[in-house]
Amino acid sequence: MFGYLLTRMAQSILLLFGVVVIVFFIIRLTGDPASLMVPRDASPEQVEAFRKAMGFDRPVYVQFMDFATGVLVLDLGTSLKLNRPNRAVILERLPATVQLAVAAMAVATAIAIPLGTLSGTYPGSWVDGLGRALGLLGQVTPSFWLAMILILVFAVQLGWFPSFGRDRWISVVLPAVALGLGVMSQLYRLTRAQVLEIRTNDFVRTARSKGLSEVLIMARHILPNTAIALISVMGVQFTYLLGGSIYIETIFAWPGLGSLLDEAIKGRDFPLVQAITVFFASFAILIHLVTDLLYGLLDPRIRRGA
Amino acid sequence: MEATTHPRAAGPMEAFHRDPTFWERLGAVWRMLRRDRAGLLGLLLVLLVVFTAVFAEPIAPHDPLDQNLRAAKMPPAWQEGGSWEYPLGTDNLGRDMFSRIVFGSRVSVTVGVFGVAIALTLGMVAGLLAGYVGGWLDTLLTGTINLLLAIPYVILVVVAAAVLGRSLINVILLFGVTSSPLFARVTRGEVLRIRQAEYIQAAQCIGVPTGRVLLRHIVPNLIGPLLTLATFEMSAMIFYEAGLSFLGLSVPPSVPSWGNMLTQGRKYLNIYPWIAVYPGLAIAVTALGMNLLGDWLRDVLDPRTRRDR
Amino acid sequence: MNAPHRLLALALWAALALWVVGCAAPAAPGAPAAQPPSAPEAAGPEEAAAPAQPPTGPTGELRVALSTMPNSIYMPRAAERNAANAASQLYDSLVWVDDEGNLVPALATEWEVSEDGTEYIFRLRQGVTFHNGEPFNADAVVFSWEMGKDPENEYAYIWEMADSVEKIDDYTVRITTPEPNALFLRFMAYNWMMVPPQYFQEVGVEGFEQHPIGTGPFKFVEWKRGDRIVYEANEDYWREEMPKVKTLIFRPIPESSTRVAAARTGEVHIAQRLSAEEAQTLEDAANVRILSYPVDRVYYIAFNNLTTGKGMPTEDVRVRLAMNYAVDRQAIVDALFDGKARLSTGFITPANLGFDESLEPYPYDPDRARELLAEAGYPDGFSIGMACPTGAYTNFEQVCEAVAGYLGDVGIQVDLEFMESGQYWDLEANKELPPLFGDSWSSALGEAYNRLLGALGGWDATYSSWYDEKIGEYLDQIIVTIDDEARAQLYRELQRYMYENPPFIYLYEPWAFEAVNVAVHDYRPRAAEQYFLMYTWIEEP
Repeated sequence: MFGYLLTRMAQSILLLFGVVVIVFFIIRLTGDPASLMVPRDASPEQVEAFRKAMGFDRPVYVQFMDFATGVLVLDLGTSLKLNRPNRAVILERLPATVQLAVAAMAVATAIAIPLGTLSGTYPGSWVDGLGRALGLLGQVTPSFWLAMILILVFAVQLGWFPSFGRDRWISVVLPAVALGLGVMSQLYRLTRAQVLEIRTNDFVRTARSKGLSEVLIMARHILPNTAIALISVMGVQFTYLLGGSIYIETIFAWPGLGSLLDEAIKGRDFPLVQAITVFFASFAILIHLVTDLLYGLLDPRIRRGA
Repeated sequence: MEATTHPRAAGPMEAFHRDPTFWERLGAVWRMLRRDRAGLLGLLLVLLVVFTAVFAEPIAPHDPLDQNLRAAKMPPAWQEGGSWEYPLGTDNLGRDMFSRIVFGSRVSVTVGVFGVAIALTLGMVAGLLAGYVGGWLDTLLTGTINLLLAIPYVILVVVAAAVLGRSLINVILLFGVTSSPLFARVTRGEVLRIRQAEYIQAAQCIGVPTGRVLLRHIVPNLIGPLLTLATFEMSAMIFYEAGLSFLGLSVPPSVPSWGNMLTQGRKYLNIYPWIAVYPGLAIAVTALGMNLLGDWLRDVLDPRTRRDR
Repeated sequence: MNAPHRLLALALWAALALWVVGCAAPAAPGAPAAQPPSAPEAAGPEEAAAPAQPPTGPTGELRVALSTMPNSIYMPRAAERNAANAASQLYDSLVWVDDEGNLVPALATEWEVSEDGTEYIFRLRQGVTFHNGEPFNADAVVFSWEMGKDPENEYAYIWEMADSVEKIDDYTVRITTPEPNALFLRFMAYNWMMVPPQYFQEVGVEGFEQHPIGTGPFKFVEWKRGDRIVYEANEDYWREEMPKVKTLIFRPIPESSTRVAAARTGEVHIAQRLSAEEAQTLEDAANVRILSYPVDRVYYIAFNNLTTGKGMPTEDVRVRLAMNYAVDRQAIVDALFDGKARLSTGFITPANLGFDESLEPYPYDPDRARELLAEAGYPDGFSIGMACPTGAYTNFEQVCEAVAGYLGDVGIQVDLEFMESGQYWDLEANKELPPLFGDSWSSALGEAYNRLLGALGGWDATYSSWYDEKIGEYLDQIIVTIDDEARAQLYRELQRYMYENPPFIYLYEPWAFEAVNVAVHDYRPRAAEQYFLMYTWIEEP
């Protein structure tokens, strides 16, 4: 187990380095941002002075070394527009994003797992029909579109929820639903398929023939096995939620990293865009690592096999 | 819409003791299709969208870019104030919504087809090399695949699109490159699995050239899983195109894509809802068709999940 | 798996969509131009709520939506209008521009300008303290200037307009400029915000940005990044009986349809930067009134005679005039802005000094355009490249498409290209855009000088693509003409010259649309979308 842990961690660090390289060079594909950062009526000399002050006149590899060594010591550079360390900017927005992602995941699992279990247990019933319809709905509805309709209906017309912001606990409901719907449909499909498959497995048949009640079979065999399968994909799904937050946070004026990224892109604040992307990727790598380890703990075959 | 929707390692058609020929596969596919109405519906919807995209000119009653400012913001024909000249009404510039949706399918299909073609080509080549050659090449390619998959997809696409600027070519290239790791991973997994099969090892022993082994035995086995993945990816790309439009990062706003129409129409949602609702429905119907088709393909081509019916 | 179950999904989606359609439909069909949201100069807040009286002390909470997230509320670093608006409530400058556009005393009670126009003596107001109790005096002025011109500040150049700032005694300062600058005091009024030296030195510029302190009507309370900026009334403000609200909260809401929703639900009292259509959707909301006013911002299609446009037909003035006649501006404005925009007659707007109201917008006259093109030697037109930014301005993409269409009608084949705005301005700064390109330019000073210099300064101006010697001479003269009347005369002459020799296809000056809660009174935004909230008050529910 310890060896497995070490290998996975070493892999993660290597991956992180790759991410740093990719992100840096993707962003350098474009020109230099100096001319955009100064006011429109500034003269060319002022633009040049600004470029020097920000270090954009140095060779690219020097800028890269600067950035890469910075990441090593958790220094993500300084935002052009905010004049503050990117790390501080990111950390103060992080709680909101985590809260939203966790809430969305909660919404998704709260609907997907019971519904998926019921669907898988009673295939072809009306519950199954409803579940599948909902699952498909989640797959064919763009989240940003759903977000706007939710605001229009539940905030403006019905007045049940705030239309934006993160003021009270109730504020998280609409964005969480909009963000969670896609994941809900993925988890629903997986749960349903798992339950269906396990139900027909030999050990379940054996249990049933031994006269175990359906409830006990569910609790002892079907649900634990389904849980293992779910955990292995929840990590990926969580990453997906982080990505989706860029739309949802912008629409709901949710003060998280997604809206920060949108803002940074629109303001061409490249150091900040770079920092957020690296941060998101590291966060995703970390989550993968944790779910892998968790998976290893739950499923002894992996632990030994590695 | 993420990696997990795609079958990680869908199996070949194990019912055959040898590799089935293409026609045998097609025959099997058709027999199964007749049995599954949902799959048939999906196929029909996809065909409808493709047909619309190909024959957009004869289908659309108007030029999608033709403005008629005097007839702006007309409701659909069946509503008060509507006219059958503009079946789905007109947008804020008096352009025919129906024609724009018809031509919009062309953008979506182009993005989907070419995006998937690039992803498939890149991914398959990388996956075959990694799986078949192995060694340091495998390590390098797998590393790259994992790297691209490590960055949250939407973030990767949004940042790259912001840097590249708005054009159809950029969007296609972007989707092609960023989703190729998925295809590579599936290909590599399949190759590794099939390589273990006795008949492949036998073929190698008797000295059949590598290229022929690949072509004769491995590639046909890949068609199933890759086709399934391609269907889901196509629907995902149509989705992401709309998402990029929403952030102002997709094809230029003058292009009548569904994403652009939805994005530009959203400010009218309250008063002229048809400007935003129909492009949204077009996206949903297309995604529905592709998902039904993908589900069905997976059921057919992957015997392990076929059991669920 | 049976299809009906899956079809149910589509049906549910469609039902939701139709519900939304249904909710809105009754009001909608065929009534796009039903009623204008409000009268053009709708500022008058008294009209509806006559019985309400302004409170005696500061009371209530005013919530204002911002369309972007401010980057900083330290004035030399506040990058754009929203940030500057949020920031300016905290500070004062030496002088102020009132609602009528007059320069009036603020932290300076009086001032004199030397004969040659390069030396100013200011007498400072006595007894003013910063929010932390530090006294305001000549040292604070000198210090603020020294901090302001730090090259890392985005607006350092506005502070560099002064060569020196010297203390004469505790309440007198002398400021010199290298050359006479007719706009210096106006720049100062909007930008030279005074900061407390002792506190600033203690916390440094980063610390100051975290918790800024000024002499202004509101005191900083907290800033939750991306979420809200909270101020409270400065009870010791030197202006009598101001401010009138106890708590002032700014909420950044980037998505305009969400701002509309929040205004309707009353979650915010003021929402700016709405489109005409969005404003229209609020007509039936009893708690909101729509404020609309012309903005001091000119939209135009620029010609280029510096780089890409060299040797193009557009160097011929007849071609440029023809292109101005070819575009049906009124139709564009009617369709895209519900008629709520002023057709431009030049680069000087009615809000500017020296505006010449006798000029009429070029009529839409495609025949005259074709004649002029034929006269210039292009009876069959020509092809030309054009670019426009995306995501930068309301409906501007569609405006560009329409312009390209109208030019096509008279035979000018336009190859229109759209670019994401960041990249666009990059190219514009490098003068690498096609020979025609669309953009807009605002002015915050009540004068058009900046806009004129910025767009017509030739190689000396970053975003300029045009140089005309005659215009250059006018501009040189304007900036050194301190006397307002004489300067106004120069502006009028320049405007007439630019009407006959257009360096742009002049388009329009849009109206701003804002949603304001009916409980809010004396909210008076200016043509540059600036506002000062010290006299704004809110009825207690």
